[in-house]
Amino acid sequence: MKKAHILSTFLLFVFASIYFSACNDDKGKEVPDAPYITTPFFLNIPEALLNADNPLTVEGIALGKRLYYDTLLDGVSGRACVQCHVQKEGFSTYASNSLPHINLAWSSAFLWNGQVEGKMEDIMLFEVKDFFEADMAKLNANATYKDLFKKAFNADKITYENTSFALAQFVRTLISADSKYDKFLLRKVSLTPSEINGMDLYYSEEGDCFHCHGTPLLTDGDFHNNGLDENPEEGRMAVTSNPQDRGRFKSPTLRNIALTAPYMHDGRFKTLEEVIDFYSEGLKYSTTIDPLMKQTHAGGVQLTTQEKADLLAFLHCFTDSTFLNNPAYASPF
Amino acid sequence: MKQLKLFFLTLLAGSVFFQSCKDEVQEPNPNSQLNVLFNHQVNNMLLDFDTTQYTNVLNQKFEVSTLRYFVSAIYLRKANGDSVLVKDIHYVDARDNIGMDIVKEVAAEQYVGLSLVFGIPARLNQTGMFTMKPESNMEWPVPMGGGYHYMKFEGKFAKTDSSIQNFQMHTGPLMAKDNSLYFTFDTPIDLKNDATITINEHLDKWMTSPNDLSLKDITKIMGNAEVQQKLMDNGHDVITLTQ
Repeated sequence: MKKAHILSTFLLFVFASIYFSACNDDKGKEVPDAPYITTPFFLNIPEALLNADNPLTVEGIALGKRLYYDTLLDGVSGRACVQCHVQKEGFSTYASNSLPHINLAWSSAFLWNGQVEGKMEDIMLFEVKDFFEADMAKLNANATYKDLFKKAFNADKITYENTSFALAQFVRTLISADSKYDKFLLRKVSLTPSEINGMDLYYSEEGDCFHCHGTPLLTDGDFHNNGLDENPEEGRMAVTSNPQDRGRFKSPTLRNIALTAPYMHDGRFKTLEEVIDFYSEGLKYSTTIDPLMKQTHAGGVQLTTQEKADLLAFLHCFTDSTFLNNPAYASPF
Repeated sequence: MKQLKLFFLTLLAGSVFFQSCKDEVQEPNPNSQLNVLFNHQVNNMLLDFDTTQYTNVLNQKFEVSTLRYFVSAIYLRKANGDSVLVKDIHYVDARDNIGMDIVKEVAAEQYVGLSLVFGIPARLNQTGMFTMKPESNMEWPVPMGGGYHYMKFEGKFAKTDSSIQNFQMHTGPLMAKDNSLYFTFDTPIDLKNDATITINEHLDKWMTSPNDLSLKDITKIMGNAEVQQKLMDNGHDVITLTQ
């Protein structure tokens, strides 16, 4: 009898305790020792690829900017993001020919062949861990960073993950949207006749730039074989193993294009004039060439000298001096 | 007596536990699930990208590399004349298998047909309404009237001298003219239970009837009102519906 009593009491306890916890989704959540307060930061932009797990905060962005400019991030040879991504050069550099850090808040595939796909946190994790081989012990030994990570993420330990989260926050804020062309669209400025002619070429199939470099990002974020070579490099194929992706590389944004020389994935063109000449009469056929490439059989779109000059004038309208001089993006050191 | 009470209490607790996370008792569902599939064919063969060579009515051999398009204003029609919206604007990328089906809960009843628009009607087709790819990449440039392409159908073909040339069949609202195509199918669709219908696009039909179009002329056509009109005329039988 006593045994039955004990069993019933035990079962009652078990059922009751399971009942009160069974529908609770918060299992395992830890209550922080003390609440930490961050300041939300709102990007005043159309929908972008944000990350609910990494909301933008003033503290997170400031930390990301500091890391971006700090050689402490590199665990091997003292490099920093800024060495390949200089603000005055559209967050690219001539020497590195790296894709510019402009408007990446809308991007989901990174690097020339898209070898990193996903969120900004994913590419930043790749940079921190694989490119920089960041020494977390060094960062954790730095009192300033310990304090900043605590403020930004309530983190006692600096990890690859929260470092990439901070960098992702900062890079998401690098938004170029105030070029002469943007102002023209808002009817704040006029374009010259030559720039207008260039715009007409850009946005018609006579020049046909817009299919891969359309408004507003001036990139479709996609991968194309634009006819550089008869025997193209692997390109996107290195990621997908699909032979149809041979020679396909990511379309870069043309925002601030006048400042982001050299051009193409291998930097083979030193000037915009060379690029225009290539699309006009330098295309080479290969089996995976993008069907958007017009008149491949004739070498390209066959622009006249005047048309080339007009197109060049229009491309310079994508230079955004507000972006290039924005103190919010400048070095904190 | 005390043990009995305790045992009863235990049973009660047990039954509450096992019920606690269950959903409410289900009422019979007044809705059915409509599955709309998208299918693409050339000469009645399933579309295959990059490898299969097709032949058009002018005996030109071609391959397909891209097929992206919008279908919009998809409505089920009832016998009393009412309509039920299935989807307002739907994007399909056949190569990347994007948007290859629509799943929609609708009232479980008999419908008398379906209507849709190939492309986007002018009243809906506004520049800037898509800010994210892939839809945003269908932009139709503002200097050409703005809005978005209806279709990008691209590939390559062999010219008579055996050289290879690209074609780009891009249709859209040239200078804001509504070139979208309206289809109405008077096909009974029984949705008293879940059902599947298939929207078929017959790509070969863009190139014939009434206008036999050479692929040589299907390049740089976005600004060509005459070719856009011919494609619109040819498009009358491009879409079929099967169950």
